[in-house]
Amino acid sequence: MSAYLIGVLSGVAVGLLILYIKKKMGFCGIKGEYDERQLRARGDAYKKGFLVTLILGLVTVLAGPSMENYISMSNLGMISLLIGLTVFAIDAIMHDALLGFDAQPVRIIVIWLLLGLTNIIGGIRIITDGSFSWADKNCGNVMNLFLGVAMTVIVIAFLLKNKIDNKTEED
Amino acid sequence: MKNLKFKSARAALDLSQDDLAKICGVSRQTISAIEKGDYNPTINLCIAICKALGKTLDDIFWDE
Repeated sequence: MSAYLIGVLSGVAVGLLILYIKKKMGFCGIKGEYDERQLRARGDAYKKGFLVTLILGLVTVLAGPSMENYISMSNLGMISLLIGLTVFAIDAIMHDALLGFDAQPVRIIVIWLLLGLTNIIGGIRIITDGSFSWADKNCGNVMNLFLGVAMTVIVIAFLLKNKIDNKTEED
Repeated sequence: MKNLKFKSARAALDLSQDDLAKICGVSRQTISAIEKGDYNPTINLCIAICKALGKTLDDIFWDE
């Protein structure tokens, strides 16, 4: 069975799993009930994420063509976007605009961790079988790894924030 | 600068930050940030807090 087919089947399986969890456990997605301070914090996080994406995007456009033997433009572009999204998510979480984490923390952490680890395992598999290539124009192989790392880092940021909050509660 | 008047008014009613946050429709962290002086709330939130604590704006938010 080809890796492509395994990927498609895994995607469908994850989709069905999410639908099942949604139906069975009454999980209704990320709740967006932010107060005025959190809305402002989220707006600031958007700005930071956008700025990082813009700067990295510019670097990709300017420096990408000369680096294409080492890393493809599509990989650089996707990595820029992922870093921007991660900056947004971490900044939002650290300033209490928690992206729904606080509404249903256990479920969301479990789902994010599962997705993150699945992607990391996929990425590691590609590295160990020798098919990993930065210069590959089909950015799927690099993306697995980066997406997995980004999702795991976001979960760690939430756990850290949760710990800080518990420590400072009612101080 | 810490808002000690706010904190003492809340404590006088035996309300936790979480209780007050629920009454005012904000997060506990927002109440904590106001008490610590890290966040300046909008007038709407100030009014909601004062109503919840049974105080006036001057009592809680006016600096002498």
